[in-house]
Parts: sequence; C-alpha cells; structure tokens
Amino acid sequence: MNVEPDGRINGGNVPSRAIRVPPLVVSPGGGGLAQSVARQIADAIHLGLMAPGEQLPSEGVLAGHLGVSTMTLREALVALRQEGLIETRRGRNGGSFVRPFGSLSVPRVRDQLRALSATELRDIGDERLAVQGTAAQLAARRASAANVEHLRDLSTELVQADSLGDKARTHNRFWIEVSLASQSERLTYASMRLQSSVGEMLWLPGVMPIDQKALSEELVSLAQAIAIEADAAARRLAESLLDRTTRWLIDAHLNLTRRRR
Amino acid sequence: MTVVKPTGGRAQAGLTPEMAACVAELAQALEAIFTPLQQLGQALSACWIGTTIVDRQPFTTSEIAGLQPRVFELLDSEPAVDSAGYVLAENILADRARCLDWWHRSDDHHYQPLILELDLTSPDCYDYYTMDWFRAGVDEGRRFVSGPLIDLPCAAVYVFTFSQPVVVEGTFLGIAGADVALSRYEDHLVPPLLDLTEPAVVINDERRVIVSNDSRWTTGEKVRTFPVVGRDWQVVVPVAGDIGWHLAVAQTNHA
Repeated sequence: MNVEPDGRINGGNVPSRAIRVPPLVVSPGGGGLAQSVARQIADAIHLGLMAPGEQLPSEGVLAGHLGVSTMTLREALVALRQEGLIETRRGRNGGSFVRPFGSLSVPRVRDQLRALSATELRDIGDERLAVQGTAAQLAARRASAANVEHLRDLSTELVQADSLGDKARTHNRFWIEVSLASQSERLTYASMRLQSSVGEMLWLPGVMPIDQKALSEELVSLAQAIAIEADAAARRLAESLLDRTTRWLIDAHLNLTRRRR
Repeated sequence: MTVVKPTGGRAQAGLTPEMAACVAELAQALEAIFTPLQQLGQALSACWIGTTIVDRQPFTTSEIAGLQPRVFELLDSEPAVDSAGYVLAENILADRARCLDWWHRSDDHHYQPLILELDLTSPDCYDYYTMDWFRAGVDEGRRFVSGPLIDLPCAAVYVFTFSQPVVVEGTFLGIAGADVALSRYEDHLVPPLLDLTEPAVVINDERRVIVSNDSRWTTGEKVRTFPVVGRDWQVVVPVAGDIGWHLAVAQTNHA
C-alpha cells in the first residue's frame, strides 16, 4: 500500500490494486494492439489514476481485464518500461510498479496543441460540455459523501500544487472524480479519454488568463453545488468553465500557429 | 432565412493592403482545391468527347474506370483532400443510369472506393440529385462548396465538399468533386487570417463560420446576423463571390 505525504492512501478514494485502466478501445490507424494497450495504461498513469509506487495488477489479471493475451500485455509493458513510466522489480515482492512522476514536458505538450486544429479543439470542447456538463449535473444528484470530500480536497489541493505536472494531474483528477460521482461508467471512461487528450495543454504557460487560485475557487464552487445537490447550478458552473477553457485552448493554438513575418 | 449580402462598393471602402493580401491568400486556398478539380473535369470531358464524338462509341463504365489514376493523383497531391471522384448526370453512361466513382485515401496510401446504393428503388438509396453540391451543377452550372458538415457516407469526417461542374457544349456530364478535411485544410485558411491585426472571420452565405482568428467565433457556429459594415464590423468583403464566402473584419473596439 502506498501512503502519500498527506496521509491518504493511493489518492484516498479507491481500494489498492483496483484495476483503474479503462477497457481497451483500439484507436483506428494507431499502430498495433500492444501499442493501444500501452497507451491505455499510460493514460491511466498520466491521469493520476495510478499513483507513483503503486503496483500494477498481475499480468494475468490485467491481460484478462483488457481482453488481450499475456503476450500482447508483456509487449505493452516493455514499451512502458522504455518510456520510463513503469519499472519492474524481481524477487518475492516483485512486479511492475508505477515510477515517480516526471514533470510535464512543455515542448511535447506545446507540439500537441499546435498539431490539433482549432476545429478539433472546438469539437473536443463540445464533447466535454456533453460529457462533463452532464456528469456535473448527475453528480449533484448522486454523489456520495466520500465523492464530495474528494472533490473538495482536489479543488483546494490545486492551489498548493507546485509543478505543472502536479497541477495538471490534480485538475484531471477533479474532473474524473466528478464523473465517478455521477455513478456512470460510460461518462467516467469518456471523461478519462477527454482529460488525457487536453488535460495537460491547459497548463502550458500563457494558456490560462486566470491564475490557479481563481481556477481553484471555481472548482470549489462546483464542488459546493454538487455537495448541496444543486444540479442545475452544478451543470451551469461546469459548462461556463468548460466553455472558457475551450476558447483559451483555441486562442493558444492560434498563437502557436501565427506566422512570423 | 434571409441572407443579407453586403454591397460591394461600401464593403471595399476600408480594405487595407493587409486585408487585401488575406483575401487573395484565401482565394488561393480555394483554387488549391478547385484547380486540380478542373483538371479532373477536363480529363472527363476529353474522354467523353473522344469516345462519343470522335470514335462514335457508347460511353460506358470502363471509360470512367480509365480515369481513376487521375483521381489518385489528385488524392496524393493535396493532403487536405480526404476523398475525391466523379459524379455523373443521369444517362451519361450507356450502361448505367447513375454513377458515383469516388475514392478515399487511407493513411497507408491505399485507395478505397466509396460504395453507395444508387438504385432509386432501394430505401438505402444515396440520391445525389438532392445534394446541394450536385444541384448547383445541374441547375446553375456553377461550382460549389458545401459545408462544413459531418460526411456520414464517408466515415463521418468533418469536411467541405467541393464540386466543379463538367459541361461540354451545353451537355452537363456531372461534377468532379472532393471532400476536404477541415482538420487539414485549416493550415491553408488560418495563417492568412492570423496575419491581420484585427479579429476577423470567414463566413458563408448561411452565416456559418468557416474559420476565424479569434476564439469568439469557432468553426461551424452560426453568427446571429450576417455581418454588415457598421458599429461591429469595419469591412465585409467577398472571398470568392460565386461560392458565398466572405471575410468580415471586426471593428477594433468590437466587444
């Protein structure tokens, strides 16, 4: 079991060793099956669903969960080791473990933002409105006390997060927690996919015109709306923030696209 | 829906050299698609003339198949083109009533034909005579850009459909057309707009945003009223008058 500096265990809200890798979605035109599996696990790590030091489920269990052969899974694990995301320890307490998080690579994420088109960013924003706006509304009707506590923790933790990587992971975890609170498996998987597509970009220097304290306050208000079961207000607050986020990303993309004369 | 079009003279008044350069580049971006379509159309015309007028033979499916390498050339030459081909007018072919010869290029450079049900008696019929990009050719003999739209028959990609009519001595043979993926065509359209200092938007006759340099207007949205020169807009000028695209430049104090 992995104890965090603040005393929470494994991020607090999920039992240890639970499989938090979403079911496999093979993306069209995106390399082989092993590559898709590796990407899926990498996303779960980047999203902060698997904590540093946490042990991955056994190969047999994880392969079974993803519906692939152990051979394919092993191939994926080799790729993840090469990427430096996991390490494998031998011996009696051996297995594959999530490595401590690196920092967010600004050039890599900037390239990702440049490579997307403004229209694709608008479309991702449309899907975030549909998925995460609805999740916020349902969360206000269905959230457990534990969900509310995690949302409050994550929204205030955002102020203390130092590195860009920590800020991105905390912010991603907030939106995923909203979808967990909605009690919808499909909205949760969709939310995870969306956060892994744009979650880091928001934290590139110069993207957000508000500071992390102001953003944190908005998340606190959203957590509060969910806590008092004000579903319409939760949806409105989420939609307002998501809509502005999309426009910040589009403007940042346009700035990166500008020609130098 | 009423489409209020700007008056040419008044709209041109405030046009700066910067804006004129932007309009010229946008027009070029359109020609980057239309010019190869015209060439494709010329190949169809030449083939039809050679078969029916010179050789006095019936024009059949095999003649169209002979033109396929030209379609592949077009697919290879412009990365923004997602799929392309010919759509023929009724009874141009001797052996088929209707013909749609349309090809998609996959990521690994394979060409795949688009297979659609063209039989009018079938409930799944794809009746291209009802499509705006085909009607523009049939009814008015003019070129057309449809969209942006989600192209359901062609893998649900967000595209513009470009169509260039092919007419020989008054006979409408059909259209040469291409589906152009927005995600890739933006590289042609956005940089010219980003060279302007003012917020600006390219908009079509439907009031739909084609592209802009400001996140206030995003592609696919409709603006409430067609831009007219006044309090909000300093310049509204056609990009390519015949296809209904306009460049609208906001007043610098536009909120």
